[in-house]
Amino acid sequence: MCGGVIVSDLPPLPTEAPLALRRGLRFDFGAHIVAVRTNGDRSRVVATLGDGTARLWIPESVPDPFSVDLHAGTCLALAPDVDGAGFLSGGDDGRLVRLAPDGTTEVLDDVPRGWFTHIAASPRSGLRAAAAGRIVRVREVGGERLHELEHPSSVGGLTFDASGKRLAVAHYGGATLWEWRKGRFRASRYPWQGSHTAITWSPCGKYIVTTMQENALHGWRVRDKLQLRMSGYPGKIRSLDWSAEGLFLVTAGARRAVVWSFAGKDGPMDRRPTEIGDGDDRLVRRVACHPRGPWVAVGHADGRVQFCHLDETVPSILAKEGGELPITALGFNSDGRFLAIGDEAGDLVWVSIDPTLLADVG
Amino acid sequence: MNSVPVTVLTGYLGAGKTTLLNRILTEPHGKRFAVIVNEFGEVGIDNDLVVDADEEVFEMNNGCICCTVRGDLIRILGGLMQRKDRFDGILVETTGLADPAPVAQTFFVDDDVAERTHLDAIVTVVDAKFLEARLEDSPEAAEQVAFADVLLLNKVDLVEPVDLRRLETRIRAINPYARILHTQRCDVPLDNVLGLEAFDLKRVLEIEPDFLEDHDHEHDDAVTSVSVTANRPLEPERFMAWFQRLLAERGQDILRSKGILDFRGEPERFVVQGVHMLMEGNLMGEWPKGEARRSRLVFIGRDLDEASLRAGFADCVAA
Repeated sequence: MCGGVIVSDLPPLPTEAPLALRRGLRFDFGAHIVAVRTNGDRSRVVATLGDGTARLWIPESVPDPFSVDLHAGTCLALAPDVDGAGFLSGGDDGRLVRLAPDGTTEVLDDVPRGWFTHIAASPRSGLRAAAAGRIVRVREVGGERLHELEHPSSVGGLTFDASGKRLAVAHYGGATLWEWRKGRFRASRYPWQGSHTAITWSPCGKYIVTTMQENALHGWRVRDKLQLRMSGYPGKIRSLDWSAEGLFLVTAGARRAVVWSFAGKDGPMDRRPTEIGDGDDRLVRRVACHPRGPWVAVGHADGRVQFCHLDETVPSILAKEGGELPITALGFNSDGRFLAIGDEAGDLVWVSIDPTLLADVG
Repeated sequence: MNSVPVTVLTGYLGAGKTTLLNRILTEPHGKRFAVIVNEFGEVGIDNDLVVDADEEVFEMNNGCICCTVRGDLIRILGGLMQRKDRFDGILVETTGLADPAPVAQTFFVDDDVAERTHLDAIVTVVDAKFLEARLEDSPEAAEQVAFADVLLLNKVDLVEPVDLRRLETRIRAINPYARILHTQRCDVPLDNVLGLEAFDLKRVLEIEPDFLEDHDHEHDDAVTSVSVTANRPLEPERFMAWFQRLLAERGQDILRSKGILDFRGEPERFVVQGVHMLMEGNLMGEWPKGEARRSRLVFIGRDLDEASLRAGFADCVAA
């Protein structure tokens, strides 16, 4: 069992539900929106862009984003920093940059001709990890020592567990789990043939799940390396996220968002996933789970965004019309009152979510 | 958004790949390129972006289809396509010993790569003086010739005309549809190597029929081509079943395939092309008036069983 309580006792929504979402504000940021994240203390939202800049704003109904230069080329990776206030950004200029809430920046690492493609940081352990090629470079906050973790191929993704002492890294041929103990890292391998392009921990810490080049997910139960195969996707799985209570893994890659249940002792083993939202032939590109309630923002290849309940019988709410460019980034702020929607052209829509929708969530 | 053309440069070490790359980057054409190289060498021009690649070849298993792709290329092209400053083109230089197939297959297989970029052409540079020796001693040399859409027969000033003719015949036996250009120091108008759209199905229609006739083979190279034709219409279901089974079973050895087909009851021409086991096909407009409706299909591959290919194709002819 993956802990937690399923919050599913919300009243059903009216079908004319766009009322539940206030009108969104639209900003033109002028370049591909690579990622949108909230910092740990909820005071800032940041979007990183394909022109190497970021936009930083305070999450409120009418935000006032301001621009910060981060990288020479494009931003590639973004994560909240260990202090809960700042952010870490990686770019194709080989730099790892810390962005403070006031918009000041500091270069933490510089790998000439390298690309920082993936970043993770843990407030619990104070470790910062950033991948450039096959190497993950890890430093403790305040510590000078650099740990270089090498992998058989370029890194596809990396993530800390909740304790911040276990770092899971996806690569060609499987995943590697690095355990931080007494100031050093020890590796265990989780082999599975193929190219693994992203990785996530289940919030309970019992499973790691990767996305694969073959349009499939692969998972392992960490304890005994029990394999989980989750396939059948028609397209590339560009995004995945865990529901608020940690029981459901929601993914892109199909006409509707795909929901795998990790309740029970064997996770999604021998169980079919459910699908949520209204699908057409435009595949889901991004998903983002609401941080408190049983809702998921689902962004499609044509720019359409739906607000979907984890219970597939509850009608979905249209958050943004389609007929535009693919959604490239989706993110709620930490208390779930706002949703940021970014697309390939650099349009960012900032949606306020009506409190009545979340009234019972607390 | 516009799809950015990607040109792949292959060729044995010393054949002149870097010379060609430098020419593309330095000539005044007003275009901006991103260049993906394996070893940071003599290239690198202010206006262009040079990116290091690791040439990571990954195996993929999609149901019944196994193939290899360039994992690093997927990542690099994804990053380049996010950039605000878009490029007019992307050049991918492969190492001298590289098999071009994983690069080509990447464009068939990855959704992001296919959506935002397309393979323009595979350009192979060969050294006119040493190609025959390379064909004897290294399988990669034949693969690079086999995959070429354009083949630069470079350093022609170093060989006698009679040797050049023999070499060209041998190249033709391996690859009947590549455009062969004679060059010295890769001196070629750039519009002969860039912007070719050689992987566009429309270009398959331009296969010149005489290339599809049999050639006399002086050498028994492991990589050869076989072309098959039919003057009567094919049964579409039977053909697709045969072609797909052929690629599934023999796709490791069939490097490239291209064909223009006359399907029974279909007014339009059906065009197919494949790279190993991956194939695409589509209807590409009606047959030109006055042209005979004649199906033609060419395979380039290793150890091709010509008799069995002919028999299999003949079985697809409608009764």
